[in-house]
Amino acid sequence: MKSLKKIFRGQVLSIYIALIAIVILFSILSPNFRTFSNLLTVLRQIAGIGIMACGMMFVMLLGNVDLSVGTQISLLGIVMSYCMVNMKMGIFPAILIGIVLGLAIGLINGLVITYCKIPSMIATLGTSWIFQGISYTICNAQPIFGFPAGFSKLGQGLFLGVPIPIYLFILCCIIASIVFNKTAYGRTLYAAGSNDVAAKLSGVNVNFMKVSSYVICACFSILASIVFLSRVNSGNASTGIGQEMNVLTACVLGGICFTGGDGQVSGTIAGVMIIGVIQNGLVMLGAGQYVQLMVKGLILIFALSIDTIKKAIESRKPTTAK
Amino acid sequence: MSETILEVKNVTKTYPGVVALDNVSLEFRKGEVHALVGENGAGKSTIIKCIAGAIKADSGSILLEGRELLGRKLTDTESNGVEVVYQEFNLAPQLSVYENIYLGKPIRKGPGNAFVDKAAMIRKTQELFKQLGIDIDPEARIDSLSVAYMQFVEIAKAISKNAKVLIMDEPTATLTTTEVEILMNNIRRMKAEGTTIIYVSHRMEEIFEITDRCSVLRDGQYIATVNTAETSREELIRYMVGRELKESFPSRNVKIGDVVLEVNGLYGNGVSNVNFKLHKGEILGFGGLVGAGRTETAEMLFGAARVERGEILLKGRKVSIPNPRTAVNLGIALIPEDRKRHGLILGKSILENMTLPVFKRISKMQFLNKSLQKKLTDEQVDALKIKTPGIEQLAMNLSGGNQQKVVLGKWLIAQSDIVIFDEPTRGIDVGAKQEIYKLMNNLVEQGKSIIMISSEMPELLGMSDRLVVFSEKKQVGTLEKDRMSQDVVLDMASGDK
Repeated sequence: MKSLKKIFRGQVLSIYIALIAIVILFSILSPNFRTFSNLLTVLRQIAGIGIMACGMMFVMLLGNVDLSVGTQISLLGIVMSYCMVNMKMGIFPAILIGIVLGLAIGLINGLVITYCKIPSMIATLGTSWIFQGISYTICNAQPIFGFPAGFSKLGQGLFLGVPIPIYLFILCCIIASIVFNKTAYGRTLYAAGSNDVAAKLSGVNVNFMKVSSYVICACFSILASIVFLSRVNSGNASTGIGQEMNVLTACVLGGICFTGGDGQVSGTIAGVMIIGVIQNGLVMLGAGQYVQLMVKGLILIFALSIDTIKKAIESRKPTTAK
Repeated sequence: MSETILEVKNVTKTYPGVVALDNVSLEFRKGEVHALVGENGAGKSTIIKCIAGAIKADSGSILLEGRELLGRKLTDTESNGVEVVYQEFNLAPQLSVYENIYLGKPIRKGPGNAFVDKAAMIRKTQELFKQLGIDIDPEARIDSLSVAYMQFVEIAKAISKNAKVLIMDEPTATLTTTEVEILMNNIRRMKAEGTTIIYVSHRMEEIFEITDRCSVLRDGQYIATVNTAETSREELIRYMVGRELKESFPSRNVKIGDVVLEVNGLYGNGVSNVNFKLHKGEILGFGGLVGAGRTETAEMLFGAARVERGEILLKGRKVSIPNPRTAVNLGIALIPEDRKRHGLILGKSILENMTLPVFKRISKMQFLNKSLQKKLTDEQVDALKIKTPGIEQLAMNLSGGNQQKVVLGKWLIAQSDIVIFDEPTRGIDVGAKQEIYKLMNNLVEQGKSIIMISSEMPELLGMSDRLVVFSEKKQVGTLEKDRMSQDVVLDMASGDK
């Protein structure tokens, strides 16, 4: 009971309330929204972003951000497609190459940010262009399809009536949650994100934490890119474009502090679900992609203002309470 | 002289869980220097911020020449004639000195006053500095100045606005003796011109040198106002702590052992030629003025700054300490001067703060042994008598003394042998100071060794077994216990040889 309370404390609770409110709203507005098959669609859609969000949390807890996660999954997807289709590789060798490339991508991001001392937002914006450019070059801006049989199973298949990606998302959440709360690495992540100078003076290797967080983030990108690739069953260089903003918004909505040191997986899950539900609900209402962009932009800005709004309310309390 | 200029009436300010000011009333006269003293957390800063309008009091009133100041905006106060020189600098580091002096209110010229009059601002800044008796280039960038000069720019900025009431919050914390003298002269001059100065300081010598009256706060309550000339240091301290307390240092019974740390010809971090030996069970003091090279040397020993030349021998073995992690593994600990920014992770619990350096040691396959973590923390909280409702309490909610104990506890759990204290009692109230001294004694009695950097002469002389004196980034000498005296140390530290 106590742990349940812990999960839902503070902002996390309010974000779940918001989620429920949004679901109710869309259910009233759209009969198509409240079907079981649509629920599965939403879940399938959020799995990819959710997996990426778990990775993003590692980076954000240190007060950094990875804006290249979107083009990371494009590049990884394209490379794996190229291996399977153009080079006639099997599924597992292709995935293995994807994993190696993914780790290298994470390492590059981490090293650039840590040792060139570039603000992560700018640095990963830069690397994201590089990844995007490489993706388009490899596939010549054409989709790659014709994967070996069985590959689509991972993204499209069901287990016990639930899409397989959902299980992967849940698994990622459990792993991330355990790492954050139970391990020395996770607790050091919070400490270094909260005050990097003090952590360094306590003997923490802050540079290692930074680099490794990007590598871990890339690991989740690898899984997400496999999920995306097998769901669409074709490699496309534009798959991931814009996903980083979905992931970022989900994390911020879920209470991951933009300056680092604070945030829980439970919040991120709610943030991911809100993004998924809004995206889907707007489609059901017939709103196009452009309206979705506007709404998501507003949500991101709102999510970032939550702290400021909260502080403003708190600072007003004593005087008004009189 | 007896005319009241500023009156604080029944001001109360509460924060969640804390009454910062409890029905405080104070009265300041025209042309007086009025000291505000009290232990940390007594409410001095809060009352200043209320007067300045930086925070809103919950109730009460603040009258400047009979006009109510409560409830107006910050910008109004400045034109009302109340100026504050805060402890933290409010300067724009990338801008020049003169731009900072006229920050937000530049002198204008030209059609529609659309252009800034750079020449006039520089000229007026120069006049201001001349009046102050300091030599700063008005066109220098703030971030190129020393901390002491930044403090003077702050003071000049406040003076330039012709304030009727000037509040100074610990203005001398970063100044050297000569600079303090310059400041004192300026305070006397402003006083003669009829400005009221509210002077907040921990330094008793200054209070007795410069102030006319002295008001004491304790735990958010007004205690007393006395004429400085008619009181004594003991009486003030008694008011501050609410009990008799002699400034004394607890004795210890330690047999000093072998050399544990030896430093030979150490250069780096702006400091040159440092040589000393630290023995087992010894407290080695580092004396000198602020910026003399004491902290810089400590940073090298802790791996927080690069060593250019020279050797560090740990128990006779030559070691290289490239980063703090190595230092921690070698059993060297640093308790930094700025504990809020460098010593603690304020937003995290006592538990996490104390066990951070040993996360690896207390985990198996990366999984933290939470019960061991709790046990280690509980032990230290008990041993150090940290006053807290629980070990889950966030470090930011603790008092200065308890925060310092948390930092110390962290290194005790890490089983460090050599502990470097940088200003161990800075910003800690008188009662808690004694506790810190006792804890330091316990450490050396257990066979650990301490390097103590301190700017407080009594502390330095009272606690150290031997003393290394620094001046102008050089080690100028080492003093044995029998040669240690205030005169000798000051003489060496001032570098007039």
